[in-house]
Amino acid sequence: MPIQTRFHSFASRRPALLVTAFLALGLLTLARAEDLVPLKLDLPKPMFVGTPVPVKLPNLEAPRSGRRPDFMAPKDATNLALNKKVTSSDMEPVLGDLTLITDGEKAGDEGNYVELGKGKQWVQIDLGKSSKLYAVVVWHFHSQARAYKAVAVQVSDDPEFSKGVVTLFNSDDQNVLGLGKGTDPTYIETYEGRIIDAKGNSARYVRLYSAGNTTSEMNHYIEVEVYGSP
Amino acid sequence: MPVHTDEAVNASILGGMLEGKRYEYDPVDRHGPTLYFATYPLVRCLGVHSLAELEAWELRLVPAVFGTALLAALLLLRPGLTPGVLLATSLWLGLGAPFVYYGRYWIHETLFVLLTAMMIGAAWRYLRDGQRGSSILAGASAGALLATKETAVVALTGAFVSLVAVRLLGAPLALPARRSAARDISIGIAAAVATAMLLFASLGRNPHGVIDALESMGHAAARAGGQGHEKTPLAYLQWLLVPGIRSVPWCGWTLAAFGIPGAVLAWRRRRTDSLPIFLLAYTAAALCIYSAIPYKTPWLELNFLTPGAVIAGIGLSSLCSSLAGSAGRAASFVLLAGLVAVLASETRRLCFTYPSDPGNPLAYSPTVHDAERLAARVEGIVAGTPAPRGVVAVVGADIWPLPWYLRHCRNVGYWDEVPSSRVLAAVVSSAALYEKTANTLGPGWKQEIYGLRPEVLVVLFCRPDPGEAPNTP
Repeated sequence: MPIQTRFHSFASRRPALLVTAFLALGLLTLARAEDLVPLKLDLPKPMFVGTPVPVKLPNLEAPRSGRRPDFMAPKDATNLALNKKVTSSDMEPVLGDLTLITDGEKAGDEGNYVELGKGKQWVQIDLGKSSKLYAVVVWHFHSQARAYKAVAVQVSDDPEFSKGVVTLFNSDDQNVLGLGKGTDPTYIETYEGRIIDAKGNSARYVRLYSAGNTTSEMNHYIEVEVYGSP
Repeated sequence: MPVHTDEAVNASILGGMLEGKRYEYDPVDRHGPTLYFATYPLVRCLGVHSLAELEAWELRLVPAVFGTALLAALLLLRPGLTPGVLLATSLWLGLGAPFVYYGRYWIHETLFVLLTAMMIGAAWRYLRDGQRGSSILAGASAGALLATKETAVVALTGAFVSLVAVRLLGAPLALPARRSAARDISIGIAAAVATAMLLFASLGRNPHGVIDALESMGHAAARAGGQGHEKTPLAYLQWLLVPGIRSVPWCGWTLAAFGIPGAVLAWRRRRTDSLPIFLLAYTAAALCIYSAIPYKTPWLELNFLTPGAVIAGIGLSSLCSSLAGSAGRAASFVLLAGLVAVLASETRRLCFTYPSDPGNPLAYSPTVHDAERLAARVEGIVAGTPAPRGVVAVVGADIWPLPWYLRHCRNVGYWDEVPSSRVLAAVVSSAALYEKTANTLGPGWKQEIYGLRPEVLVVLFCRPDPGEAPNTP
């Protein structure tokens, strides 16, 4: 019997059961939506300490007016990256050390960021166990108006990122990183950081790439937060 | 090291001269003509006939020559300074980070410092030997100094104040006891006026340049107020002495460390030896005047660091001389080796490893490497666009040094807004005009952000590759 015919037959025989099932599904969805709350980020002090720049190209996206729209995440979402171990393609940073990336301090002053060497570099955070992830928030550098080149964020349960890799963000439109051409927008760094949707993927490791910026060939990280279910 | 905006502006002026345009002094926005007249014959000898043919190394040969000539110019002071002092001084002039850094910038400062040294050195020789040639050289150097930068007023004022000060302090400074001294000085002044007039008048082809030069003093006075380059009075000392994220300021520290004993010696010998006390007074006067002027850029440091290096040279030389015996010679060797090592270490980091880094105290609004990437990208777009290619439109005011970096592209134009009557291959828009440019161009373009200088960004609008989506809002 064709599937459609079977469904009609079932519906005509058990209407009450069908209504109950739809109601249950609706309630479940409603309950799920109620669980989502705006992700609360503890933002650092804005500090374009240099010459004010008349930059009206926020992210090469449609210019945003007003505050950033809320990013919705489940109520229990917490920063799983706080004080977690960080490794990097440059294990001897030029300035600072890798622990700064997950120490919870997001101020843009000197001494709060790590500088990795020239060109393509990555940092990787080990969350300790595989967790359901909702957002990755990254602050590269925000005391000057600058954009980082070829920013990509991937998650995986494999520390080598050779299997089970999910790409969450990729602005590398020239494929400098060799991860494939990205279509996400380049953006100007601000004190708000960049929220990247992790779309509920489960992973233990988060890897962030970049390849220099509009001011120098170096790579910087002030803080990375990874929000997920503990 | 990427080409600085000031170098790019200078290059466009020189490029015009190479392409047959007559040089005319601009009293409003530009320094004097000397740099261009000094560079023009050199690059012509290298076979360059246009801006497009110029390379950065060809331009930067010129300040390197000036820097080397500065060492030679110190020989003018030889009767008053021992070979040991001159050698010690040359350590800082040859290895010190500010000297090496700006010795590669094709801007007016190294020539200015050279001419100042020649003027002071020749005047000093005249006071010693009374030779008319020395007077003429001093005058011609002063004239060329005036035709190099408006800050010649600072150098001349500093020299005059120092002269008066050391005379009041009892230094043995007097005009040669010759009847022709007044005539020699008059000839020297005439040489200064004639040299300055000749240069401002473009060697006679633009007589109005002389009037313009007089007018420039008003503009220079306004510029001294800051015009966006205002700094605190302590800025020079901070740049020179406060450690940064990129290096330990060894040049500033060692100049101070050896300059203090050098200054003490100059002071003690003020009644018997006039040159050290004059140079000390000139260093102090130049530092005070430049610190008092709100307009500050780090290359102006050279004006007091150069005489300051001589004072430090006196301190270092006397210290080494005081270390007698084999143990003393060994200690001197260790001291000199250590000095060379720390100066070279700072120079390597600031001049070669991080030449355009925002944390480099010598890099003032430097061009960043991203500008080179933008130029390569634009050249790639032009090469990949089928004929007829259309133009690359650069729109906005704050787009320097792009005219240098895009000098090889034939179809590049500079506008205040996107030209409506042109077929466009690409558009480079300043950040200030981004929204207007995006609205004018409409959808169907791909945008890429590039940096020109720290915090100065531009957006490249180009056509997406086949299969690639545009990312215009």
